[in-house]
Amino acid sequence: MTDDQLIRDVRAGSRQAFEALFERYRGPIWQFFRRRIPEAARAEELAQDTFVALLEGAHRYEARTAFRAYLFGIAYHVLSADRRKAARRRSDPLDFEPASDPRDPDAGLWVRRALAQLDEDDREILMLREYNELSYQEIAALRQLPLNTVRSRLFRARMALKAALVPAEDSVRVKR
Amino acid sequence: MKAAHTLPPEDVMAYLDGELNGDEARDIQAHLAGCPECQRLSAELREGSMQLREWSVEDVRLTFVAPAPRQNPPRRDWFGLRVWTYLTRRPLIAGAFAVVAVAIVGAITIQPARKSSVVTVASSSAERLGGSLVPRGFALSQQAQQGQQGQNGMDRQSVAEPAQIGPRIVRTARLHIVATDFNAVRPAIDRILQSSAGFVGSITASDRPGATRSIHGDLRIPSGRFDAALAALRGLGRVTEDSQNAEDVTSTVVDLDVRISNARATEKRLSDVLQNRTGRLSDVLEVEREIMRVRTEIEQMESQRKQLDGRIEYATITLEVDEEQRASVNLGPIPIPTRLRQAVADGVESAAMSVLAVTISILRGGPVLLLWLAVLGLPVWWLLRRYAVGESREPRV
Repeated sequence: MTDDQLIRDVRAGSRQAFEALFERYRGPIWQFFRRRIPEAARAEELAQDTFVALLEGAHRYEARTAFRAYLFGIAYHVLSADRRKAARRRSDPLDFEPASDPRDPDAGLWVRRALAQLDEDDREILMLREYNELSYQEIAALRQLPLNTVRSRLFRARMALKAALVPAEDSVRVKR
Repeated sequence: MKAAHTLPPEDVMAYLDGELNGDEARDIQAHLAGCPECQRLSAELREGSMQLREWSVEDVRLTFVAPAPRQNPPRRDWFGLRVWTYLTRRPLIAGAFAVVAVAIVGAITIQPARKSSVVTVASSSAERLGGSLVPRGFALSQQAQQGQQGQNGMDRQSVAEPAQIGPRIVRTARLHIVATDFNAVRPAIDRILQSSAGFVGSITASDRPGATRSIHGDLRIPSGRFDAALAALRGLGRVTEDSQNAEDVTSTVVDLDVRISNARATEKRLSDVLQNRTGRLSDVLEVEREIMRVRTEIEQMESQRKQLDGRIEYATITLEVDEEQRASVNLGPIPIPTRLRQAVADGVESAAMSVLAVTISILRGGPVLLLWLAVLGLPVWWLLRRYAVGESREPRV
């Protein structure tokens, strides 16, 4: 069944349809938060919130956009709300603190460091494209930016990442 | 020479991301086949994506016990019922609506009391202002006139009743004065400002050649010393224009106070709701947005209140003082004999000024001229003299 069929069933009250959607998207949504939140428990909580919000707002879903973009839109808003709350709790602005895999903390270490050097907006666009595989149009809708701005920022982010990766990658590999 | 590369690199990136339609994709593909520069960019972009994939996160550990989704309520045609259903499903938003409704009802309840206080204030202020203004024949503001009329028809009992809030009057005046002794005007204005603890809002002194001197400005005087300051300013010269205005802003002040008070209460209640929230995330976000909106409103209203307080506390006198000469110039056309006499006088004055200017130039340039004559003239004189002596010593042939 397609995503649209499943969400229509969820709107009609089908528990099985929701479980199917959850099973299909729990990995991508978990990874979405895990790559942006350093604490795994908090990432899990926000992922839960995303699916709760999906469930509660299923009756508002309209098939104008792909379900995938709709779901990541919810996740993005949940993340933004959490960041705003965190910023209020702390006096200083939050830095990007990329998560590492506890099984292999060095996995992609240079990638994480390079991403942390990017401009915050550019990094978010790059991650939405590369890790969450959203289209330019979907990113533009999510970030409320013109399509061309998304395109130029994505290119800028990729070039900046390339520049940041070269020396970092060399140094990490030398250490190994 | 290498031709300029016109294909935007973003197009190559969009092609690799599958963001281009068929024709555009074919064009880029054809271009890529023959362009080493774009091939290199394409390889770099692909490599970048591959490198990003090296950042993996641990396996998903998310489990979710899905609660049974609620059945959609049957759609009701009556809008009110739909709103009711919406509010009952969102208790936080319903609470916020209830707070706003209470605030509106409160404001409506306070309205009659505020109106009665305004009437009392208007009449009492007119009573206070009218005594000094009407006999002099100056224009009263519309508000003060209405207050004066109200006083005539109103029973004394209501006037005597203390108002819930004192009168809030913004007083302004405009004075145009022709001063005989213009040099004394500015010091006199400073003295008046000092004695009345006022200050200059803005002031411009004009002293253009060929024109009479003038001073234009806005003076801010504490409302309690407004009449005394005005009387002192009238003494600067002959008053050619004198108008006053008293604007009763009591109702505006009361209205702002009530709105600020209600908004603060709303903000507090919304904050309490947020602190003790047990609702859904979307509801919390809704309440946060509402709090931000209310706070912005409060700040705007407090700013208005401060501006109003400033205008109430300090009256504004717009003062315009011209030198006496301007009045005589404006009396009418000058007769021809007078103009001829003035021309002769001007001619003599111009000749005298010319002689004076030459004298001043000589006096100014004289020392410098003497200096350079001494510096350059003495060597020249010495050379000429030597040449003359040498010539005289040579034997004549």
